[in-house]
Amino acid sequence: MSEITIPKSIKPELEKLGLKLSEIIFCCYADLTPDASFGSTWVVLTKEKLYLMKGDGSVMIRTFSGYPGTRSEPDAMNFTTETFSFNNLDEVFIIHQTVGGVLCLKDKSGEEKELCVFSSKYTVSFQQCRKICTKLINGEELSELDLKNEEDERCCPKCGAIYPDPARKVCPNCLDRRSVITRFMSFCAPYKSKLIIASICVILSSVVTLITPYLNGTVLFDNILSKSPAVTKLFGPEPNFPFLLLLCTAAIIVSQLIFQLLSLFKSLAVRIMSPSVIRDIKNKVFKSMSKLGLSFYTNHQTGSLLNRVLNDAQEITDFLVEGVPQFFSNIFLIIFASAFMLILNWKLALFAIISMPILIFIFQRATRTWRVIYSIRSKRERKLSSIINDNITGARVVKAFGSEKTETANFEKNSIRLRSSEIDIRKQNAKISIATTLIYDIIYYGIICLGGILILSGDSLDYGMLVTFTGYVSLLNQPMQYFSNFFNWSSYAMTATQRIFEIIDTQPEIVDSENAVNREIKGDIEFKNVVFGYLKERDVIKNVSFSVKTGHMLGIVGHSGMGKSTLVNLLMRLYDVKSGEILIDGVNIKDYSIDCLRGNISIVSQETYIFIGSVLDNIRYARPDAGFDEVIRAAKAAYAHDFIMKMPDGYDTIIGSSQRQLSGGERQRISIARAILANSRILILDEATASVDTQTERAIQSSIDKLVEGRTTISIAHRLSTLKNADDLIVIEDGRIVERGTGPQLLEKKGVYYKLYQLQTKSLAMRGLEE
Amino acid sequence: MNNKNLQNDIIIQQQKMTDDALEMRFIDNSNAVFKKTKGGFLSVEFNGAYYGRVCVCQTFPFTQPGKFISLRENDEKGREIGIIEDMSKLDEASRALIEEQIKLRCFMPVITKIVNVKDKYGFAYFDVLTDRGECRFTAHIFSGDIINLGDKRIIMKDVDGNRFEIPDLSKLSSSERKMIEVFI
Repeated sequence: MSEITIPKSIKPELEKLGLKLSEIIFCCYADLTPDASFGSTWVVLTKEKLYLMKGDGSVMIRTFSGYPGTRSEPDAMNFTTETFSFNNLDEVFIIHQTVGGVLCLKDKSGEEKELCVFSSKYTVSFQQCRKICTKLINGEELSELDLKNEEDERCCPKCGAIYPDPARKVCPNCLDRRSVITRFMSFCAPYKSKLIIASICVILSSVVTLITPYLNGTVLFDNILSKSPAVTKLFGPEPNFPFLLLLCTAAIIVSQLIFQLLSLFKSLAVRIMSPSVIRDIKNKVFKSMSKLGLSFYTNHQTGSLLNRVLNDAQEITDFLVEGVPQFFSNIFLIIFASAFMLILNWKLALFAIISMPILIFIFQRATRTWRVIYSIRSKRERKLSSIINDNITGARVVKAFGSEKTETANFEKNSIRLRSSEIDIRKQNAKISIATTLIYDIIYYGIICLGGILILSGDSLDYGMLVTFTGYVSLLNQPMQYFSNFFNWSSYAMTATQRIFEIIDTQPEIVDSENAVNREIKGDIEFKNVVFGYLKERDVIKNVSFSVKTGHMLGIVGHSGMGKSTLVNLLMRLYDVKSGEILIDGVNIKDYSIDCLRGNISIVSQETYIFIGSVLDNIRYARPDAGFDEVIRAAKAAYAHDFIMKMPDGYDTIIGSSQRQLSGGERQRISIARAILANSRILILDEATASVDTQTERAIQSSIDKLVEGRTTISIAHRLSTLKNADDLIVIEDGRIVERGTGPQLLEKKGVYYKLYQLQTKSLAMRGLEE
Repeated sequence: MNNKNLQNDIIIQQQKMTDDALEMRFIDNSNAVFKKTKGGFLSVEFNGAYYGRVCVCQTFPFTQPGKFISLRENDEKGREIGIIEDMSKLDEASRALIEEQIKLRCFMPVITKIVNVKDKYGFAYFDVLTDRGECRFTAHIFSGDIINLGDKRIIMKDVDGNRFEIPDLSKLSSSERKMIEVFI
């Protein structure tokens, strides 16, 4: 049995009650009181009894889910305890509320009682509590799973902060940076040479920038213009000073030229590298995504996921090709500029170096303000574009209700907001740039002033050296800006990388078993005691057994949401069963290779999907090697040939994009043709005619009748007319089979099926009158 | 013949359910008696029928909090018993009973002071003082969990759906307003 942790603060009270810790099987905490304020109540369960312990005097900060920091355990004292024995109870239930809920019980006399109130944070643990109580009341065995303390899977177990992306469990605060960096660098391994070229260029250009202030300061002013003895020593007693001046100027210009050339090389290297790295990342992600099971796609909102992946790729690449080389060059600049400054004059250098943190601070403040105002603007931009979008997609409604004026006014209101936000940005930008320039100028002129004092006092400082010095100070400007933003930038890039790896590393849930084989399938299907649930705690399919013989047709009837389509998903092995087994020709479907299994099942479902491409491509989707005559034959069998021939380019007409809209019935018939062409042994019709009108349904029905011949068919429908050819019917309710038999037998039973049948024939009769 | 009857029964049943769902039934002191049960629930006697544990729902929790209160049965179907058009027209005792239910049903501490707000990776971390003590909660920034009602009133939902209210933005200090400006 799994260990449960018992909060310290209730231990004394438990002792007082004479309860042994080992007897306790579950414990949960409620944070509210019936008069809607915060309180502290514990519910403690043993196998026989429920203890309700109301404490008071708890003064504490309430921390809700997702807030980072250490979890403080709720503290309380002066307990009043009520005890309820499961023998006397009829039911323990939860009344769900807008926020959280109330745990209640009903005793054998039928009296209901409120036990405790909890906020949404504790809903999950109280649901578990209710489940355990129900099992105890009914005398059922408790399983390990029932008692397991569920961790909140949305939050990082280390720091408690919520994951930025709930589906991808990566906590940016607790990231193992080193391992991420190592893997991160693996992206550019193929482009090592280019990265090295870029880095060398960047570092060389910093060397060049370091030389320039020396040339135009110390060399130009102190050596040449002031005709210093150092020059005479080097070039003889009567040097040609104008020539030296030209030489020096030329040197400065050449160094600038070299600088520009180097940056050209660098950006060339980056330009080549960056799209290649992005392509690599995208390919890797797409490849691993397509391997994953269906549950991956249903858990993630696919579209936004793909988008974010692409953004992540961009983010990583930017950092990789721009950020990393800059990082080295800036470090290099800081070290060497500071060293030169210290060598030139340590007093001035100290002043300059001490002032650096001030600059960093200012820049950091500036970035933060920028972030705020830009995010406000982008929010307003989104709002505006969503209004535009609403008006375009909803144009029919807008016009039908004549609300153009209201919409225009609404748009204007929001566009004024956007304008004011733009103005804010301009204002803030001006403010920030004035502030930073001012601070920078103060430091700059401070150095000149201090240098002036040093010169006047006859210290070992010359004019030129002062110029060199100020040159270095301005060189430091860029690294300061870079580092003020570096930590943000790098942590965003790290998280993005981690998220990408999260996808690349996800293992597909459904894989071929070791001894999986391809074998001929005849089409006997059998479900044996199948249990399944998409979520751990909730079963959707509860112990379902049925069988279909080769060539027979089974109809599945039931209201929506009762688990009919789930049965199909299980047969296709889009998910694996929790317990029980599914057999085809007496062999567990897990022993077939996935390709073989799915290759032998075709499905016509309510959601028809038409890919962008020609009609031909769409019909041949399952069998790209099918002959043209076969395609026509399949289309004819699906009653699709005629309408296809009415299209301008026949079977070569491009469909699926907005170029040609197909009606629901047409799409349906193309997908039937696809299934006919696939010619598989097992056919699944999942509400195949649910979305079309009666007329089309009749047409489709006859194509389906053709399709069904000689195949094992499972047909799901809530329109019973679709199932008139079924050999057998099962009625599913709430994940269980409640009725089974042939149509006439079920009518005899006068149960669920009969009720459905009556309602539908009545409404069909009515429709018949109208037609 | 028997079949025919059963058929008709089903149709009539269906019809009844539809009619029931379409009808507007207003509840006030003249046709209903509200009481608190021993177990702590609200019960109502309405049009001669007794409902032991009633569920109280606000129809317009934000725009008309005190009007059109829907009373519903407590089973899974949650059939509507009736609607209280205006709470202020009820007598003192009944009103208190229903208000208590609403307060409990929609637990929503009122923020009196914002201590700190941090935003990171799409979530905002709030540290606030409320009328019921200090709370720390996390809200998703871009998912519409921060609801703007009019120019002043704000309701924030945390990641679990717990709610926190700022009834009047203008009553916060300017530095507090600045902290949450980005999110609204």
